[in-house]
Amino acid sequence: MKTILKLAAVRIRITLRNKTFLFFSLIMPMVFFFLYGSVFAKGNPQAVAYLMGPVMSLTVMGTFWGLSMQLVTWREQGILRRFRLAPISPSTMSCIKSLSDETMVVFAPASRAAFA
Amino acid sequence: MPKPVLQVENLVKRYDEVEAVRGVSFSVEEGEVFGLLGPNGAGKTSTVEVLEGLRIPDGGRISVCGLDPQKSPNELKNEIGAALQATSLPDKLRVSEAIGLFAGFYRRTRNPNELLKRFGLEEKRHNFYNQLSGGQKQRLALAMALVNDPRVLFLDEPTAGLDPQVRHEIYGIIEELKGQRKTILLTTHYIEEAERLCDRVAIIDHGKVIALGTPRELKQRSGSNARIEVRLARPASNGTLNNLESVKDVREVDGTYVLHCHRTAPAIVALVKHLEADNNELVSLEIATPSLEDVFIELTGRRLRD
Repeated sequence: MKTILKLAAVRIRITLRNKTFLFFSLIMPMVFFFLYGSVFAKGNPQAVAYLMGPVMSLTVMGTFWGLSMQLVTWREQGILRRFRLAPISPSTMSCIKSLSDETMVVFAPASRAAFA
Repeated sequence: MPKPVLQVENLVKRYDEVEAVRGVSFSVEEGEVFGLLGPNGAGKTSTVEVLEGLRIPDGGRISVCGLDPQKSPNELKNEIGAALQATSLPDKLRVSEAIGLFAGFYRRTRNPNELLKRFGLEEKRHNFYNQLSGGQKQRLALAMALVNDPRVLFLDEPTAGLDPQVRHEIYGIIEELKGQRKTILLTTHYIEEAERLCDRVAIIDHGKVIALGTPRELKQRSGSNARIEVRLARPASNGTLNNLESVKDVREVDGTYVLHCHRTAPAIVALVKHLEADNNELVSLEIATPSLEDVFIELTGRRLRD
C-alpha cells in the first residue's frame, strides 16, 4: 500500500513537471474560460456558471487524454518494461495509474473552480 | 554439486514467423559470470528476457534460483536484478527519486544513498533523468539493478553504445561485482568484453548455442591456427621450414618467417632443433594464438559488428 501511494505521488510529481501537460490541461482551458466569460457572459454570474460546465468537462477529458498519452509514451520508451522487472504486478501499475490520474483529473477542474 | 542458479533447457522463443531462440541450453553456477556472445539478432536478448520473466517462452524448461519465471514472477523478481539493453526512465524523474522508488518495491533492499555514492552519482542525485549522460544513465541502471541485493544479475549489453572510457568504467564495476561472487549473466557483442569479464561464454548465433566453454577452452578448441613469427640470423634455405613437425604453411614477410601451425609446442621444439643443426640463430620469436574473435568468425562465418 505504501508502495502504491509512493508510486502514485511520483507519477503526479512527474506529470506536474511536464510543461506541455500543464499548459494544455491547466492553463489553456483557464484562458478560454476567462476569454469566453468576458466576451459572452460579460460578468453575468449565471452565464459564467453556464460556461463553467463545458469548460470543466473539457478539462476532465483533456486531462484523461493527456495522462493516457503519457502512459503510451512510457510504454514506447521502454519505461514500463523497467517497472515490470520489479516485483510489482501490471494490475498494481494500472491501479496506480488510475489513482494518480483521478487525483490529477479532480485537481485540474478544482483549481479552476478555486479561481472562479 | 550445488544446484545451478540458472538452468535453461531447450529454450524456444518465436515471434510470429521468426524463431528467435531455437533450443538454447546452458546452466550457470552460483558466483559465475556467464556470457552470451553473439551478433545482433542472435537471440541473446530474447533469452535473457525470458529468464527475467518479461517474455513467455514457447518451449523448453527454465529455472532461475529454482523458480519458474512464469509461475512465480514476484518471488523471482525479488531475487534478480537486471539492467535492460536500454534502460529508460521518465525524463523528469530525479536520480534519487528513481532509486528510492525502486528500492520501495522490494522485500530486501540496500541503502540507495550508498549505491549512488558507489556508482559516483552522488552529486547528480537531484538531477533529472534526461540531464544525465549516457554513461551516467548506465551507471544508474546498474545501481538500480543492485538495489534489492539480487542473487542473479542480468546485464543485457551493458556497454553497447558507450564510449571506450565509460565502457572501461563499467568493466571495473562488473569486475568488482565478480569479486563479490555475484552470479551474473551478461550478453554482449564485444569480444573483449566476453574475454575480460566472463568465466564461461556461450557463443550464440541464429538462436542456437554453437560453442560453450571458458574463453580459453574455446580458443584451444578452435581449428584456427596459431602463428609463430620468427626472425633468423641467416635466411633459412628454401622449403626447410615447411617440413618441420606440425607446421602447415610458411610465409616470408620482410625477413620474418610466419609459420602457421596446428600446435605451437611441437613446432617450436622442431624449429629450435632444426636451427641448431643448421647453425642458424633465432633473433626473435612471437606467438600469436587465435583470439576469441578468430574463433567466433570461424564458427559463425561473419564478423561480429555488422
